[in-house]
Amino acid sequence: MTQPPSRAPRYGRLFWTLLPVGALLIARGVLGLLRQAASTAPASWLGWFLGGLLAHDLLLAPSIFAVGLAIRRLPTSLRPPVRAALIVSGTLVLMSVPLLLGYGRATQPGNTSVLPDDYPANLIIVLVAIWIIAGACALRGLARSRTARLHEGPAPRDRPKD
Amino acid sequence: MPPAGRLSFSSRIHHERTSTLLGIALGIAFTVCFGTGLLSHAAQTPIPWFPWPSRPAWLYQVTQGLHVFTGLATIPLLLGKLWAVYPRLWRWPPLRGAAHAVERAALVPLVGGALFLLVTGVTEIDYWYPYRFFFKTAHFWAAWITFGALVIHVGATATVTASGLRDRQATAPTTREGLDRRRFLLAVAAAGGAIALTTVGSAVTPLRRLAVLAPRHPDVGPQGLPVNHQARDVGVPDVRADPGYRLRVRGRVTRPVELSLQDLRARPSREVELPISCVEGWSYSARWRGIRLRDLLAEAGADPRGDVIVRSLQTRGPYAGARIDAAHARDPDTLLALTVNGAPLHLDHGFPLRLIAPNSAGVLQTKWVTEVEAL
Repeated sequence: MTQPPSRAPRYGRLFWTLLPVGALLIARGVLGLLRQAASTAPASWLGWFLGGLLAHDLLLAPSIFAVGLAIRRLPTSLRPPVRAALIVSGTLVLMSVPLLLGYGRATQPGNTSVLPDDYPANLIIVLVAIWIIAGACALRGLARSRTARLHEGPAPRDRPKD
Repeated sequence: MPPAGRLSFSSRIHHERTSTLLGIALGIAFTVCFGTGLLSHAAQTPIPWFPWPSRPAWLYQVTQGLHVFTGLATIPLLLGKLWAVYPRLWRWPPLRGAAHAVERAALVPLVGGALFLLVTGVTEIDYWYPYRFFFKTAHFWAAWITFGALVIHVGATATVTASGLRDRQATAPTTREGLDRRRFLLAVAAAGGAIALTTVGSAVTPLRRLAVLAPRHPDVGPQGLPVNHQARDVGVPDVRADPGYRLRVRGRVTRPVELSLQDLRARPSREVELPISCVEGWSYSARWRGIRLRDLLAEAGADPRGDVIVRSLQTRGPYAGARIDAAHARDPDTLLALTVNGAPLHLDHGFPLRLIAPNSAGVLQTKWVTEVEAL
């Protein structure tokens, strides 16, 4: 990548001191997991453990990358607010998936205090608010770049890709 | 190096300083979650050398709230960090020596564990259990593995972290790169803030109107209070018209006590304001009126240093009884409550009698109490 070779991690005394400490903690976790196999269901556990890793590295990260490419087609001044709004709304949507599916209500039928809200409606309101803020920022950016152009002539070209 | 490397990743965000700052924030967040998680286990399962105190009354509410809401706000931190270091996953050559191999191997439990903890934590607070393991045990041991990997990772990246922090030039917002990095970090922080704002009201009452993405509201449920297990879901018979209901105090006592509902109502009562603090992070305070547990135990002649087991009428579920340590059992505010906010308990809140103790996990506040066994 971009960093010079002199920044390559050096493994000093701290690394060799913390390595056995961390390894002990990991060993305790693995042992506990196996000892209580009746309630930890190690096969299912491992599936979720590695599944999350693969889902992130092979699905989520490439999708974010694709969205990032799409953002590059936007005018320069629009990119920052759009990027920020996507980051905020994307994480909120991810966190809300179980609320949107609402499967939790089925675990206690009749309990009106479990997932009591209309989450799709609430999420839409929150997302609209986020994009209104992003829109306001974008408008301000556009206005600013227009003023700059009026005063200083043509705006400098967008930096070429690395 | 795979061809994707140069073409695809702008160096602006995938920079050491970005990942360093996110890494420090993540390290703090995971340490808070690990620490408060251990405290929560200590509060639920007595540890002889680490007795969980009954005071201050609000302590568990705070530690468990910190656990859940820090965890939620960590979601964008973790995703931002993984995004900042993602290109390194495909770096070539993949290994440079034994130490580097160890560092990279530790990334599997670190990243896998971090994702596991956040995913299971979120689904658990939303009452969705799409896995075969029991959440508490699985989450607990995954935390040890993840934290161990974090310790190794901190040792391996200390040098890089220090240089990332020293990299003053990178912080200068005068360059496009500096500006983009700053904006990226601000957006990640804003995402964490948005998550906190839309959920934390389920524990912090003044913010409850903002909790539009929280799985609970502190004021929604029978008698305006949330319920975690309904009577019919855990097999509690409807005792509202049952004259045969008795509360029994037995076990290692000199004078066993047996009280009917009329006896209980006729006894001197006390009113306290105490929170119910759920392991899922939400909590609410209410006014409870009932009889002191310690008065009952004294009347029965139980050993004042002994723990007690409080048993419920419920026939199903893991919380049909709770072991209450001596400190909680003798706290002057620990009640067997008959009313909440001035009205008799709703059946789903534990009618006729529920335990309410200061600084205790909600799962230990046994409902439908019918027996107290002194140990």
